[in-house]
Amino acid sequence: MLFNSLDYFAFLGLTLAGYWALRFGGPERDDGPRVRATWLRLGFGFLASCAFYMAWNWRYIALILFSTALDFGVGLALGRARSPGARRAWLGVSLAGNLGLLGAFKYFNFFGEAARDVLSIAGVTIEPPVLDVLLPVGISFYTFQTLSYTIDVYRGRLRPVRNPIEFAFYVTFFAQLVAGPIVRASEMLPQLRRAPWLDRARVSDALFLIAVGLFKKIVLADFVSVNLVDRVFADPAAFTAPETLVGLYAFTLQIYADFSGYTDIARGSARLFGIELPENFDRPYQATSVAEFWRRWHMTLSTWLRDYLYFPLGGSKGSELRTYFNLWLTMFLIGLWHGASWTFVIYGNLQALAVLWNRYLVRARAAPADEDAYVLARPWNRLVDRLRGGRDRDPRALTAFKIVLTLQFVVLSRILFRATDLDNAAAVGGRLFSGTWSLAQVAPSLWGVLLGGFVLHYLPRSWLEATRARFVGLPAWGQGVVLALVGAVLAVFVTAEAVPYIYFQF
Amino acid sequence: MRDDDTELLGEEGSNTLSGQEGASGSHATTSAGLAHLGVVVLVLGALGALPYASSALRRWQPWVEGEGVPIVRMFTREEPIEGGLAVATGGAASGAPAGNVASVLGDAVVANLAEDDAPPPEPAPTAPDEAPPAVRIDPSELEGLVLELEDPDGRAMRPFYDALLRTAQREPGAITRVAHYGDSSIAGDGITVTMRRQLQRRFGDAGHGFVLIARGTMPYRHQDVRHSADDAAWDLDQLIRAGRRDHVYGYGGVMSRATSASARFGTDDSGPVGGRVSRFELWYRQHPRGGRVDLRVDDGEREVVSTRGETMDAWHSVQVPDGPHRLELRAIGGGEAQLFGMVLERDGPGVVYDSLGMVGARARRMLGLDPEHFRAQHQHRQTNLVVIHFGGNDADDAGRTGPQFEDDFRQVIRLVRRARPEAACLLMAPLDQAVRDERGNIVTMAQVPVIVAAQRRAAEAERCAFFDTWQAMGGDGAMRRWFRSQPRLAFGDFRHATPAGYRVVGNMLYRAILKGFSDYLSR
Repeated sequence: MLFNSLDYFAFLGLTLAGYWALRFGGPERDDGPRVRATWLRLGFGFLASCAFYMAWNWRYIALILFSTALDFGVGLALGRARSPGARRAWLGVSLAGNLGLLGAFKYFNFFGEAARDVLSIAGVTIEPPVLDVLLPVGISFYTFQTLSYTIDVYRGRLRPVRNPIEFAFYVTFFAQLVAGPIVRASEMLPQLRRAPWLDRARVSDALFLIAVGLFKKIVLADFVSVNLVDRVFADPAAFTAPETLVGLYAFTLQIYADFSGYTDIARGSARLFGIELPENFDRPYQATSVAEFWRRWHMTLSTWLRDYLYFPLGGSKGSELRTYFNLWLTMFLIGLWHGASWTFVIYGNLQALAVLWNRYLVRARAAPADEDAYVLARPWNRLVDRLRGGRDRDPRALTAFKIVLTLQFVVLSRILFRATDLDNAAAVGGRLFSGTWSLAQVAPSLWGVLLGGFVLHYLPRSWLEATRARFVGLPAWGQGVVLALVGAVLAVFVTAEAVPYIYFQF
Repeated sequence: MRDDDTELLGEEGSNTLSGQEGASGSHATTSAGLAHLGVVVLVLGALGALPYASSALRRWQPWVEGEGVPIVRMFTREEPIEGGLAVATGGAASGAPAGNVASVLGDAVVANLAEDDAPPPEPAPTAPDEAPPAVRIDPSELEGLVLELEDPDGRAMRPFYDALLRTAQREPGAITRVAHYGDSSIAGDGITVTMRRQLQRRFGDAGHGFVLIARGTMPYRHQDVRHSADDAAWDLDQLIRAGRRDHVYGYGGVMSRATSASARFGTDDSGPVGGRVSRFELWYRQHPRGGRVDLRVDDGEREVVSTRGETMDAWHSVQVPDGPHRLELRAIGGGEAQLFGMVLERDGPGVVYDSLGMVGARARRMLGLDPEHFRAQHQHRQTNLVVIHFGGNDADDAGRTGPQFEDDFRQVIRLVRRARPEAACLLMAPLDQAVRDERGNIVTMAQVPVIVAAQRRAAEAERCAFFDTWQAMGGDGAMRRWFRSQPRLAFGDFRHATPAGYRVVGNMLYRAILKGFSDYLSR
């Protein structure tokens, strides 16, 4: 059930009606015992979420229920276990169960292929077994969510949940089930324990978020996808160098509009249930470095890996070499999280290299100018010094230069993200150097949407905030009229079949 | 955490929730919030009901009868949505089953989706005193046959099958040549590359065939051959744009003109065929102000060809030892060179499949060719089969009737027959062409069945064979299903297939032709 469909909004309306009816079925005092109402409300939400998931593919509901039951049980066991060994063992059970699930359904076949490819270099031929399975929707998201729970309980940062319905609601909540954001138990469980509430401003904010999300998905993402991006990657040889480059920019806009649009709708929907989900994007294409980009893009994934992998590895507290290793591993896994193929292996390593280089430059600026270890950074630092002209902060021109440079890296490296395999990536990349110069296959309407999308991205945040404030300030009927008008415009753009969200596959 | 951790990855615990999750609201504020939401929903519902007042506003009706009950339909559809593979397939689990083609389109399409990269055998010609090998088509070669050619008395394709039999019997120099005319579906060499590879794998590789000199801004390209040109330096006269008073556009429908420009052609060893050539042949228009053209093979000696002389079609051949070669062509002044194309061939026996796509072409555009010039071109090319494959762009002509379409195709068939009476004739229906209706549904364009019916009548009346591509794809609604399948077989413009989709059509056509040849052999 796609967010950009009538079915979703019908489902959302029915679920909201049931959820809030059960909220009012409980005692009126928010701080009193509300066991019956909570059970009913969260139980209803859990069943609705299961139905939502089964609308994708009923076969895989067992997997998410298994993951839920496993981590609920491990949480209880961790609460009872006293010895560090027993606690480690229970954490191991959770890690093995969740990562095993992810490994089997997402990475097993790739690891087999990778082993075959690597061994073939040494002249050894193997035929690895192949699991004939489809990738369950959202598995990469909900396994990370439940892992955050067991790890936090293990660390003593969270008390074990004793109410299975509460935990099941957290894991399966349909708004963020299939494509995030990755909500940690520590972020959602406290909200479930309080009586949910809504006020006029919260409703208005939620509706605004949903409208913005639909606009991003339908007008920006789907339009550029079917009108250029799909074709460039399906048949690279049919496109000239500048057409291919425009196609890559279009994909960069598409994936942002697609994923952040989904997140907006998810956050808006959740807010209508009185639940706040974390932000996942912070205008990522305004980043001045690749490291900053990853602090602005899919923030719940990068911060998850930071808190549950990078810091436990030691972060930057060890030697310089160890810090580089920790950074590399974190960034590499961010890449591999997105897909099981050689393209994502290379993509992850490219991102890691860029982040390491960024750290090198940052360290070089703080080091004495003549320190040999940072000799490679000198040309860049000289350029920065010249452009700064003695000031402490970057002038606008230098900031813009850094943004443009970072964006180019993001655009070009995403060839690997979108390509079906390495051959496809090479074919698309190769077209950039084909020496062909026509732009005939980029339609004027596509130019309009592309330019409009990027301009919106770089508008001052205050402009969007002012628009939001104007919408929130409207009376209910006014908001209804605005939303109806937005819907009418979207109906003109909407594709015949709603195009699935990119991140559903991860 | 040290400062540089903050620089690189942000502070620990950052990106957690802010603001509202810590707040709480009373029963009363929640009631007010829900009342607000209720009013918004009521207004939306009322405005959403307005389009039902007029059928002209159907596009904006949130739901219409026949679309299934919202939510319920999500559980009753035939195919589950398996994820967001539509946009980026890179994230799919490696080694997973190849999409849903079988369930959405059937096993026949799966059978035609496969690609065989095996290079063709290199059979030696039979010696004069050697008995020709027996030729038969094994039934396994016909697995995946979806639809046969419509050739009721078996005569329309006979000249082609006669030639193909000689090629199959490995007669020295027995080259079977096919000219496949079409629109943008052909200009990308998607269907035709499949036909070329399949026929050459089965009957021998006699070279890539005809290639235009330059492509200008057209999305024209050929596979299994190296071809590039400084496109901006060439002026193109295209048949689809008309404009030439003499109606001379060449065998491929495009004349490339220049006084100073270059183009490069060569074999390509990256595919299963096209790795060898033994003859380059330049096709051009000789005229009194013709310029000079410099030809250079493999960095060897330059050969200058003058295109000046009495106005007539002309050809210049360059023989090379059979193998991989490249040829650079340069217009070097002295007048304007008017070039039609370059042929890359081998001595055979084998098949040559000329892909002659003209982007944006309608069938009746072919009538803009000078018949005598077209005849000279085909007589020189010695084509054995001419495939006429238009209709995709004709589907936009809402005002034209079935009889008008039929007349178009009959005239085109006659033009081809006059140009090359010795050749077989095959009319091909267009791919399904679809648009979004006012509800956003992908539907077959109204003119498509009209055109297909007109083509069938024209083929029958002119004794031309017919292949119903539209029906082979699945008929009404095929483009929608091809668009929905994984891997995607149609693009989102609903007018063109993806490379995989073209491969399916190519394999369907190949098996239909092979079945016809098998029937011919058994008669």
